Amino acid sequence: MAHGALTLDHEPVTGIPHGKLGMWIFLATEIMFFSGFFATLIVMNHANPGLFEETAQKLSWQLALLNTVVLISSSLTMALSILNLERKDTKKFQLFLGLTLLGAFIFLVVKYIEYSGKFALDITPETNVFYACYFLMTGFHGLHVVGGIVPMVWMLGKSFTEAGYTNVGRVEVLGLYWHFVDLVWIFLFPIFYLLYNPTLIIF
Amino acid sequence: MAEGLTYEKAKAEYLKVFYSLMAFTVLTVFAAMLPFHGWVGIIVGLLIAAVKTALVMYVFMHLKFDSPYLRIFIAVPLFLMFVMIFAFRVLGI
Repeated sequence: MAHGALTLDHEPVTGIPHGKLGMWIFLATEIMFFSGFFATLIVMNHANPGLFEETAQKLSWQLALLNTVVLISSSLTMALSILNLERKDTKKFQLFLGLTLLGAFIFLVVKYIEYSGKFALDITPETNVFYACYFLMTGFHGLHVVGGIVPMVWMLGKSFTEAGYTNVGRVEVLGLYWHFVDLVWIFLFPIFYLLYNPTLIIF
Repeated sequence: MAEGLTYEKAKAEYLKVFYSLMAFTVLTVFAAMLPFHGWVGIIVGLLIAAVKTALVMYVFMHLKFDSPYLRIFIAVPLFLMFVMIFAFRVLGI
């Protein structure tokens, strides 16, 4: 740092790094963002008795379960990549961030298979209000996955350059975002694929 | 380590959370196969999701190790969301 520049190693008021605090505030707004969608879902379910039960059984819970496993695994590899960057193990950092990225792509491929199966049957958000909610919420969640891929590619790419990538704080902030994307899916999975599907009941 | 844990300890903790998340995922599918859909099914499904959320937030997202301010930060919108969902259910919309 140049002399005279005001630099602080720690934040004297909150004690929380600004990037981390900013990401948590953003995640708080994200909770509210998705809350609006959940509210829509509740209201629409009440307004259309029987529709959700009838339509939910046409979704593939097996593909959604696969995606749940993929996202939870990618959350683990993301946490491990931060841990390895902290102890300056670049090879393992690249390995685990690469695996996280792979998980993100597998998720999108499975989502593509799921969506194209629906489009092939001429099912769109206009089909009924359940599908409108389904495409809206899983679509926005998918966009969040894409949003996570961008900085991941950038960081991974940079780690292969001569300068390398050493900014643990930033990867940690990205990690917070990525775990949140996982959390949203943890709710979307039972709500859309399991809870309204009467054909699942086998006991 | 930022969390004040050794690498091995942190890794072990992450793996424990990972296995728990997988177990709860299996549990939530299994619960959906039991004959209580409707009210009870939704409560059970959301409770399992809430436990998974707590695990991810506390360990993966470091809330367990970070400043308590962050816990308050995230508790506010979560509380508002639960109030909203509860209000909708009570009002029967």
